[in-house]
Amino acid sequence: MKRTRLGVVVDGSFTAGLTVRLDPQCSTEELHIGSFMVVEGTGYTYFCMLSDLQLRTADPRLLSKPAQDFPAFVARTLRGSATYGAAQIKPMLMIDNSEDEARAATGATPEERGVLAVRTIPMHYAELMEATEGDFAWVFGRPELENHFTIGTPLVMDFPICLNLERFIERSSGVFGQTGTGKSFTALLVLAGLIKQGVGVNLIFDAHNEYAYGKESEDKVWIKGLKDLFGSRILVYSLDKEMANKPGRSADSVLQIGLNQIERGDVILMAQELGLTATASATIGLLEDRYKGRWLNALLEMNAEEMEEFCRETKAHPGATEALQRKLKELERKDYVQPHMDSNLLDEIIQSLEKGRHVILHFGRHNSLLDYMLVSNLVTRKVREAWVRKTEKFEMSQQEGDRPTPLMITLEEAHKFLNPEMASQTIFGTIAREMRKFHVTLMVIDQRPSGIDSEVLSQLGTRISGRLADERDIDAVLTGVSDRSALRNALASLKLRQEVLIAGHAVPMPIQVRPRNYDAAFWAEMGVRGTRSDEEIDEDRDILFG
Amino acid sequence: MTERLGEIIETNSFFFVAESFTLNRPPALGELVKVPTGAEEWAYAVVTYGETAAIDPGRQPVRRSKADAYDEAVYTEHPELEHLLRTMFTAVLVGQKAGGGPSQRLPDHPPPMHYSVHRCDPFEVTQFVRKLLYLRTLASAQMLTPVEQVLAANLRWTYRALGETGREWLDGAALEVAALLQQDVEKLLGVLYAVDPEA
Repeated sequence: MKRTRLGVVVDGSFTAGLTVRLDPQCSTEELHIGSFMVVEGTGYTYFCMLSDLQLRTADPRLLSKPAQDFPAFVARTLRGSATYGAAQIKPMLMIDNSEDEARAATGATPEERGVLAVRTIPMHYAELMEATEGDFAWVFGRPELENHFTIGTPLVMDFPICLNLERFIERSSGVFGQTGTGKSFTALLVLAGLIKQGVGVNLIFDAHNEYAYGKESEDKVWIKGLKDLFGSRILVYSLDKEMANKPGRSADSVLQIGLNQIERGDVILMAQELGLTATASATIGLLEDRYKGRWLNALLEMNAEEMEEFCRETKAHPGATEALQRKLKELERKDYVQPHMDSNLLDEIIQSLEKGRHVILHFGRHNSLLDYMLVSNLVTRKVREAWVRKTEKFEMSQQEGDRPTPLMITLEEAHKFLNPEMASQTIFGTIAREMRKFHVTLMVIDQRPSGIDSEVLSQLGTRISGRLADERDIDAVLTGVSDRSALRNALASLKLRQEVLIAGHAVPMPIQVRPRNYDAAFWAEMGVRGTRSDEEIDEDRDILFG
Repeated sequence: MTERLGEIIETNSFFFVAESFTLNRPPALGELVKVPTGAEEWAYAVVTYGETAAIDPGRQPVRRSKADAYDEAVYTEHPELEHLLRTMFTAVLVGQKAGGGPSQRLPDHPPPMHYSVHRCDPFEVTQFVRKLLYLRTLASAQMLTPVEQVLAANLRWTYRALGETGREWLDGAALEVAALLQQDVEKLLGVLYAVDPEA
């Protein structure tokens, strides 16, 4: 395919990238920071990212002349010669020029398509070209390929950019962006893709009631939730008894948890929300020593004498114990918390996940941070234990049938669980750091990535980020990524809405994308209920009822 | 047969000097001219300098006009001036044609002494200026006239000679000159102001 020329390489280095002098007819305004471009070298074709644009003059005396003095003809002629645009580009990948373009269409992975990591740079006067559809397909693959899912289109062109879902779920990932950048829509797209293509199973903590059922978008359009789209492939567990029985959005089950299921780690995680002091952990330790699994019930049931006796015998601080009891009473008051529960409901969730059904935990009206943190930590702990057992079994038997299905846990407000103080204590921190080997990964969704522990951030495989205003947030998103300066500019140049940068494990190189619309066309592609015609429904009715 | 403009009286590998057939009217500054160098072979040059002076260096021109006879009338009253004065022009070699199309490199040999300098017809001009390498030769040549003024004169003259297609050519040639003189913005602006067709 013929490419359009933009300029020629005039300078550069492998580490700093290449400088391209733009052709006179190529205006800097036509180029967008972060866009995907191609440099045609003699032996290789390089796929690059535009990281910076500069305006230059050959003679500094020109700068001292007031521009309005130049007649149009003079100004036009100076542009592109004595004054010119320069582009800084960063080669990311390359292909051998002897590669057959037909191979671009067939290979399932970039390696099979002949795409190589960049190991050299082109010589002077290599030409910078606009990327064509073929170039995008070469690098990012085509939607027909297995596990490839169209996440959107390039910013200024109109053809599919694919995410490799298998690679996406292989490592933890992050969806970031300030409010209004469409994080939940992007997450919905990815989740729908994963469910549709059956890549792994999902456990989704739906903190803001955004994923399970339809809701009205910011543009006043009614959109479908995952339960609407995938029906029985999704199980919704709701904490909210009342909402669970509403017609049209009924949950499959109501989730309740018992005080006996709450462990020390669950409580410590909520230290801030419950107003616990530093001594709380020690006190709980003493309670656990004495009462084992029933410690919380025991604490909450204690009267004044019993508490005095307990403190005397265990040397616990009476004031601290009393304060702890008072503060933990709040848990008892939650209507989804029961004094005692056996583990049936949680086991049911685990079994559903094992059978490949996706689970959404719906919080309904119980949407305080306390509810969210308590339940998600508790459920995740149980699920993780199950997956660790499954992995151990698989490692023992080495039977392909025992291989655990990859599990992805979607977590909103991730900084609450993964901030530097908490990340070492919560189950989510453990998963983010090392759970890849147990086939469990996280998809963290957050608007303040700077609040997340940097060790966790550096472990993220794929990052999808909308616009971020805060420098610290931008730094955080790019933690552990190479070519940070190029990506920083790409990230800062995104529009507030409908533009994201995808970098990492699931894409061969970073790319700015306009996410596809989450609309009727997309739902239809997902092969969804409710998009069938009336005739089809009548036909089904005839078959069922004769 | 094309129009003859003058006869070569000094010649070398870079330029030649010719005596014009018309007194006071040498070819225009910047004009593309040609000299035959063999059968169907030509050397091309751009006029960079013109001068009218006494033929005998010992006889300096003196004032001839009167209150009622000046300018052109001086020549009517003094027909001998045609034999005392001469007009000469210098042209810098920029190309040649030896079979096939024109090429923009210096001719193999200096144009022969006493050969005629010819005017180029519009078709030849169009053919020759299709490439702009000759501007580079012109810009680096040694000459009495300021080089940017010669470049400007050549651009202006060619623009007019090309007629309808002149404007497109001028935009391209201006860019070429801008690239040549980008290190010296004052000279570059001198050229661009002088050729601005919109001024």
